[in-house]
Amino acid sequence: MPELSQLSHRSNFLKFSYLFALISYLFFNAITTYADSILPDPKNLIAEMSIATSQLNYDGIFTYRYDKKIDTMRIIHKNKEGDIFERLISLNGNRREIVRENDKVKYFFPENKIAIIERSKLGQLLSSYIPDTNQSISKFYVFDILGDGRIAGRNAWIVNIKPIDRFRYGYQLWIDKKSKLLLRSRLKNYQGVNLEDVMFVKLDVLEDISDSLFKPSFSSNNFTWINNIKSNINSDRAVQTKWKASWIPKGFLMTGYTKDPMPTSKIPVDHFIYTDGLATISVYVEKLNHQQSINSGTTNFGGVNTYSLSTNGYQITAVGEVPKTTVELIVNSVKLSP
Amino acid sequence: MKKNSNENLSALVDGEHCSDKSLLKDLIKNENMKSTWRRYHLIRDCLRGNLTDNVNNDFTENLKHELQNEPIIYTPKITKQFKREPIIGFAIAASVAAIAILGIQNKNNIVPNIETNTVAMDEKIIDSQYETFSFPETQITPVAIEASTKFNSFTQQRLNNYLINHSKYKHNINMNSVLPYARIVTIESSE
Repeated sequence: MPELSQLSHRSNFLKFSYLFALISYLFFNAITTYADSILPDPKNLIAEMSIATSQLNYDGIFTYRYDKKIDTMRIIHKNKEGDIFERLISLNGNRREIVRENDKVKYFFPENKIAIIERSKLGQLLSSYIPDTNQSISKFYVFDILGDGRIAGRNAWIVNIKPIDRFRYGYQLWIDKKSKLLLRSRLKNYQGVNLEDVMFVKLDVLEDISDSLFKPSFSSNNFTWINNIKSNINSDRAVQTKWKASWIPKGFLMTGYTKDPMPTSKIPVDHFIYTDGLATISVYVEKLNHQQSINSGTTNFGGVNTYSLSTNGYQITAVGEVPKTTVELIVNSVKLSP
Repeated sequence: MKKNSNENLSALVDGEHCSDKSLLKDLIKNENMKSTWRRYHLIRDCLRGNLTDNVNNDFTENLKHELQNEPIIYTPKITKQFKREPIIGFAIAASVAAIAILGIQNKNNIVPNIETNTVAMDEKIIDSQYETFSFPETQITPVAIEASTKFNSFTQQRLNNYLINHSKYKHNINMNSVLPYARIVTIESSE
């Protein structure tokens, strides 16, 4: 009889355990579902995305669609105790690779046997010129959560960033609910037409990534190296502002004025940068040789538009992720500073 | 056999379902059965009080005669539709794709209605030492956007250099740090 009693107690204990586990599971599930259904603040989500993009280790394949073309690339990103390593590999067409180690960026163009070393200035400009980025951006873009979607097998929030005028482009972002990484990015014009589409088809978030994956897949011994880091030392110094655009869209501020060396120019090119917090516009003023042909007009690289104007021995070019009209108006308003 | 046939014919006249399909074939061919058919109808109509004042036993003959005198209407041959569905689907998809591509091209070339009051023009006169470089005022006026210009290789290379240079200043790492580099990877070679 005591044995039967013990069995009965054990049975009750097991039943209680199962019931507790079931209730816990349902409760946890309900909380998770509820948490997933709460719409996050889009700007906070972008801030989280920024941190995740920099701090996480990931290896993914994405497509880059622009105009009528589509390219596939692999990105490997590693954060090794605060040092950022990144490698971008073209998977179709020319075997181009870009390797970044913190602010040092190496561009490899095997078809021309050329490698360029540049110093990236990512993230250096905005904080020193615009005190409150979000507040500034909010005046010229409307942020919304459109809903949720699924990219590369991952559940994502869809963030819509709509410009308030026709002088800038909008964005649509898919941000991973779990890792907060960017899964898809669309650049849209004011009418909502897609101009560029970057979309991951495979993305692995990893604990660690081998250092060997950040070396180019080909030998660059016989490459011609163009080292712009040494020649950029002068460009980092403050230079006298010589040129200025008398018209820029509202919200854009000049965030830098440098003299940058260019392989196609014997003397450094005047370069000034404007940003509204999301879009960046570079204006280059280059003194032309008499032998150089003069070209004016527009062209584009996906969502980046350029407009060039040659006048009085100078070539003025604006480059930026803004509509053609914007770069054209800016170039037409560039004057020497009084 | 004939008894069964008459019973089935009677059932058919009464509107009952006839499982014997050969009965209908026989009815068309066999004049005796046609006569029986007519008679049964007459009996039925008589029993139900549906007879008209003038009973015409040659109704079917008259109908046959009328049908022969009907004008012939030529109609197009109807073909099977099911094979067209995938083609129609493909055509619609192709049309949508074409419209999308054309739409992008057209919409990219739309010149927005620019409000001149948003443009703050610098009216100051430039220093005399820079007089060699000045813009006529007409250049500030927005001009219509044209299709992308076809540049020569040197100018294209210059633009490529500008794009590479621009990418290193692309500050909005918050948005997408990959995209500036992705654009460079896709630059067409000048060679």
